[in-house]
Amino acid sequence: MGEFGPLTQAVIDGNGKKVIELVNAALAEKATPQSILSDHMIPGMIEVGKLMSEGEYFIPEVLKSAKAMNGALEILEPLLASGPREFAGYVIMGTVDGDIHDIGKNLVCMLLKGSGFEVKDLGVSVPMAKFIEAVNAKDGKIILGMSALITPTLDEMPKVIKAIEAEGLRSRVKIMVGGAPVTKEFSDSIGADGTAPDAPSAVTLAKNLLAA
Amino acid sequence: MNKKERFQAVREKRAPDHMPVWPRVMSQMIYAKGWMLSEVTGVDWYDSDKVTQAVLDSIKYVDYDLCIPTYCDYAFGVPPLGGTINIPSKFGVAAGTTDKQPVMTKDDWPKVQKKLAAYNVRTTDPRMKGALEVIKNVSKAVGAEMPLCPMYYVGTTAAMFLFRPNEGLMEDLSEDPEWVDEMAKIATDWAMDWIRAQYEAGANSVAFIAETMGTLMMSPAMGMRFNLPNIARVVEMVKREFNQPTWLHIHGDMTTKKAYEYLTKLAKEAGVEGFHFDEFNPPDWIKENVVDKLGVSACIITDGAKIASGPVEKIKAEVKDMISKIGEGLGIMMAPSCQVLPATPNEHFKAWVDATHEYGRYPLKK
Repeated sequence: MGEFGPLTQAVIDGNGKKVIELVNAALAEKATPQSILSDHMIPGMIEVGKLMSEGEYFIPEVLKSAKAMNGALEILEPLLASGPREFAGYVIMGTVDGDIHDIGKNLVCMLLKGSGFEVKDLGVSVPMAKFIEAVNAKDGKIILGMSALITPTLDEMPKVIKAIEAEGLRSRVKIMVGGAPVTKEFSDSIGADGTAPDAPSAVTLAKNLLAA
Repeated sequence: MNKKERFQAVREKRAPDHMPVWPRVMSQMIYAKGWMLSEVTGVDWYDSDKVTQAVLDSIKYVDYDLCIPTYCDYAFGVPPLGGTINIPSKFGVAAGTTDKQPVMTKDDWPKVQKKLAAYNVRTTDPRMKGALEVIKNVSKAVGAEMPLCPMYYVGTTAAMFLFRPNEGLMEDLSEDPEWVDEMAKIATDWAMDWIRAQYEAGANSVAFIAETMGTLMMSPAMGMRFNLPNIARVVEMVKREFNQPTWLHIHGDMTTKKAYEYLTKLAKEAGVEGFHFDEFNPPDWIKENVVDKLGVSACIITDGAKIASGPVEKIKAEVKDMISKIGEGLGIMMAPSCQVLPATPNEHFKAWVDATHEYGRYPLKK
């Protein structure tokens, strides 16, 4: 593990109390909310993603770090909204119908928000019609993210993709899928635009999909 | 060879006539009958006659070699403990727990323990009572020639399905590990009673236990702390009381150094006889590192999504390719990565089983 500043390290350690203390201290010293997020907290989550891909961190540790980051985001978000902010894109996220697991989805939502995306989180066990309704409600090029943890619910993903095609929306919607049972091969086979092995990589994927 | 003899050959690392297939069939067999799950079970009822028909028709048409002789799901046992479950009324969705689990906070734990003290796995949940009836019926119909395996989850996985919401348990793992120790032990005690009940109803082969958090959701170190001792307890009980070995279904990539250390302990210390993995573990790795090095039997794994999506020719090619990678193939059989996905068409399921039987004729072609 490399050398990190105290706030970045506190995010990596999942020390929520310390993260909030350090964020408040940084704000008191007139650091900008964008800089606190981009220069200190997001590098912490990138390191967490790296540790996960190296097999050092697993979901419990990543969840702790994401919760620590989320606690701080509650302080930073109102400040970010009132000031100048980079807008990275619009993402609709949800766990597919029949699946109530949301850890992975929540992690991705948190990191996307932290990276400047506007995120509409539809929650868990989202029916196909609700995904379509959310896509219809937003104009322009957007991302739809679908998550599943348990294999029996994987079948829902191609159903939603087919429905988006049938509605004539596919050309402006980039679709990413994720979750423990989702492989690249599966993602390709159902016609999704991509998948990522962990939450930090999902942010990179979202950026790449909108840039393409 | 009949199905029992075929499985016995795998367990003894002898050549069977053809490679046996061990699918974990849950709601797929209900949908294959053209029924919705809500037509065979509800929160507090279970139609044993219909489920018996679904199990026997599935065995007869698809002709796999081992089975869990009833319909079971993730939500068994939960309503009497105070949780809510979801029985879907549309095609292809599995029944399961919801975000309202019995132990939402630690304050709920004492009252759930009280309910557990009065819990009889044979009668308290009408769905489980119905499932035992099905085991009796299936045992009577095919038990003479077919291995029928009792099944449930173990350790933290059992605690997750029975007690705690997934995210809550994930936090507990790092923030309150002593409580996780306690929940995993108590959930495993409950699981052992449920396995006993299934043997008494007519299950006649190895116990099949599942640790689905595996290395997908936890570190191998966590697996060794929270699950290894509980798996060892199940293995010991099943051996002592029913003279049967235990097989473990475990999720996640077991090929890393730390995960392999966990796997080795499961085989050598806990005494697991055979393993059922997921698609993260390639067939040649399983042959070399599990069957040859650890000396235990194992399943090679076809990704369940591939079986569901087909087409038949692609399924056959996948099976042929996998079997070509396991040398003489002793001690090995075929399984899907988890359960056979609920929306899997029966013709895909059958094509996968038939292909395994066809390309898995012994001696295997190199």
